[in-house]
Amino acid sequence: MPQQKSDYQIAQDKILNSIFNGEFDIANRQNLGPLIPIRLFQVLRMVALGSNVEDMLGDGAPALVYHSGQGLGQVLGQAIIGEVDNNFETYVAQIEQLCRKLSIGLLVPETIDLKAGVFELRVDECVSCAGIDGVTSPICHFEAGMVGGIFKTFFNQNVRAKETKCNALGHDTCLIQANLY
Amino acid sequence: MNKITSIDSRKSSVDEIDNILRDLMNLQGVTAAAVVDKDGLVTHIRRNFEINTDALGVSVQIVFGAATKAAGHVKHRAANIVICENSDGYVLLAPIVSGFMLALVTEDDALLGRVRFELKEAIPSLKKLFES
Repeated sequence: MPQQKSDYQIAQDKILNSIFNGEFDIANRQNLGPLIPIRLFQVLRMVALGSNVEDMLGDGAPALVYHSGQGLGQVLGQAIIGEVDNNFETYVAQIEQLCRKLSIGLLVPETIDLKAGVFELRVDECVSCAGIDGVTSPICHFEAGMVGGIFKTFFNQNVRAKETKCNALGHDTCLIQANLY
Repeated sequence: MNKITSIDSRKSSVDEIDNILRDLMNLQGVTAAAVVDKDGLVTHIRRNFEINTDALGVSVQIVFGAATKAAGHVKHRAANIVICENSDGYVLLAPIVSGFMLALVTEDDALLGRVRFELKEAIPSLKKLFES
């Protein structure tokens, strides 16, 4: 007997289907429309899925956030991989387009070493940390996980992704390094 | 020459970590032994059944993080070992260093005291290897 979907899973399906179908208008937002201020997104990302999670899980919080991002990356990757004929460049280009369309950030591949299984991806104008400064270590664990999930889906291999530069640290961009292992 | 030494010593550390995990796996009822990094990624593992390593890694960090918070709330200072007693066995978690964790999975016939003792014995050796 198939396991019944949770309400969060039902909502997730609805949201992702809507994204993949290119639907922009949102029901029940006749007056306010489909866009929200970036600071509201950052509240959800850095407070709800950041400091609040940290209050409950302490040092376990980054792992949870990374895993959440990885899950999303895998879903995005799975939605795209069927259309790219196993071509990595096309796959990355499609991901770039999707991230731009969703205003996640501007993805720029910096290093692609397929032989060594090492990749570096810049995320300019990263939605999570734009306008944030004064932190002491990279804070975009969600985006690092997302990149990890995207590569994991394409290569069907374990991936370790780590943010090595972060806009919130003063680097003007976020740089995510991913290694296949 | 320095480069060669460095690569050799890293390989040797990996081998030593693997040896420690293998020794833990030799204990009665232990079915998996894994090292998890602070991001919840499994860096070393020995197991005799299929595991979703991503899910295991993140669970280890979440459970230990929550246990550490709970210990703090009741003024017990640091959490040293977390033991999950399940219907079909145990999961034991212990911190190594710098966010790295050791996780052991056992069947229900494992001798909990023995496994716990060996886990505690393994931590200082692992700590040395991760610090080197």
